[in-house]
Amino acid sequence: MIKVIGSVLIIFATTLYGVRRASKLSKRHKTLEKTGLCLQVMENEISYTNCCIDDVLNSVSQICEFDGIFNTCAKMKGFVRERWRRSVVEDKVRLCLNNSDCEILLMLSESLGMVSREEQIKSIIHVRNLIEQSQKEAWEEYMREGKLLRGLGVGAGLFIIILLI
Amino acid sequence: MIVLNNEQAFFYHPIIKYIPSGIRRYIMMCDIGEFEEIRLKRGLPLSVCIKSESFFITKSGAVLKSPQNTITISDKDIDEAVSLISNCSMYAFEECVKNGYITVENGCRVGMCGDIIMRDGKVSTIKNISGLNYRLAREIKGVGEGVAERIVSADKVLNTLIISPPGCGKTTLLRDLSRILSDRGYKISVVDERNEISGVQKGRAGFDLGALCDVMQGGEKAQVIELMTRTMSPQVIITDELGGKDDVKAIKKATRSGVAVVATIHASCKEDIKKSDKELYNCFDCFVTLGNNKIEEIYCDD
Repeated sequence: MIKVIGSVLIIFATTLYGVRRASKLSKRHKTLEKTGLCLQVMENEISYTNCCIDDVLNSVSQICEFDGIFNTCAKMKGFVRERWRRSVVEDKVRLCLNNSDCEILLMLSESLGMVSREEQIKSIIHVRNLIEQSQKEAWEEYMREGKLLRGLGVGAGLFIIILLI
Repeated sequence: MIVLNNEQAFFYHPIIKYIPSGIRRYIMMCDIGEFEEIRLKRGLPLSVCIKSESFFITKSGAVLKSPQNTITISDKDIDEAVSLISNCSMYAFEECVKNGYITVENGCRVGMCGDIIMRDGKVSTIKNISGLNYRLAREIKGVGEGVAERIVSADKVLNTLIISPPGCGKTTLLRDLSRILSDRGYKISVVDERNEISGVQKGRAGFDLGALCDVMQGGEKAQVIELMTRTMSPQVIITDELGGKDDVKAIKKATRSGVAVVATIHASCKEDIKKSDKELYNCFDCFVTLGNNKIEEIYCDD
C-alpha cells in the first residue's frame, strides 16, 4: 500500500514539474504578445496625444488590462528611466521572461521620455519588432518543448518508480 | 535657510523642484529671491545672475564673483534637470524645445543649449543638452504705474513698444501693465506665446494679470493676435518679444481694428528700431526704454 501511495506521489510530483515548465514557456509567449500590444498602444498614445509619460503609462495599463511591466512602472515613483529598469528586473521572474527579453526591454529605458517624439516612436517600434521576434521564438519553443516537457514529467516519474521497484 | 525636506523646499520657491537634487541644497543656502537666472553647464561651475551680474555659488553657500571652491555641474545633474523640467516627457515639449526653451511653473523659463538637429532647413530638436538657464519670473506690483499714466491718453491706450536688451524686466513690466490696465476697466487679451507673461498652469494664470484679462498661450504670435482680435473683442492686446514680419502685419491689422497693442522687443533704443524696421516703428505711438531693471525713457507722440 505504501509503495502504491509513494508511486502515485512520485508520478504526481514529476508530472507537476513538467507541466509547470511547460506553462512557463506558454506564459513567456503570452507576456511577450501582451507586451508587444502595450508597446503598440504606447506608440499611439505618444503619436496622437500630448500626454506626459506618467499618463501614457497609466493609459497603456488601463487599455491593455495586463498586469505587466507598464503597470508596475506606472505605480512606481521617481524618474521614468530608473522606474522602467526596476520594473523589468522586478517582473522578470513573475512574467517568465528570459535574459534576452529583459535586455530588449531595457533598451527602451535609454530613450524613454528623453528624446523627441520622432525618436521616441522609432525606439518603441524598434523594441516592438525585437519583442515580436522573441515572441515567435517563444511560440516555436513552446510548440517544440511544451508537450515534450509534460510527457517527460510523467515518463520521469514512471522511470524513477521502475528503478525503485 | 535650513531645509528639512523636499516639500518644504518646493514651498519656498516653485523653481526648486526643477533643480537637480545634487545642487538643490546649495541653492537653498542662498537667497533665491535675488536670483534672476540660475545657470547649469555640463562640467562647469554653477552660476547665478543677480541684477544682471554673474556670480558663482560655493559649497558653503556663499555667492562670489570668482569661481573658487564652486560646485561643478555633472552629467547626472544635467540629465536629472532635463527629466525634471520635461516631466520625463521630452516628446511632449517638442515645439518648445525647437525654440530652445521649456516653460515650467509660474512662467519660469528654462533655456537650453546643445546639439541642434536640423531638418528641411529648420531646427528639428536639440540633442545632448549641455547647458540650462533657469530664468526666474518675477511679479512686482506697481512697477508699471508710471508707464500706465503715460500710455493712457484721453481714456485710450496708446500703442506702446517696450524696448530693452534681454534680462532688463520687459516681461515683468508687461505683466504689471496688464494688471493695472485691466483693473482700470480695459478688456485685455494677453498673447503669451511662451507662457512667460501669465505662467498659466492647467488653465489658471500663475500671476495677477487683472480681472478683465484673457490669456491665450502657445501658438504663433501673429495668428493668435488675429484670433484674439476677432473672438475676444479686446481693447488692448499685450504680447512679448516681437520678431518677424508676420508679427508686424498682425499688429497693423489689430491697430486698424481699433485695438491698442502693448508689446516688447529686444533692442537697445528706439532709434535702433527706427533704423532697422521702419514699418514696425510706425505701428507705435509710445516707446518705453528699459536698462538695468529701470525705466530709462518714456517717449510718446502726444
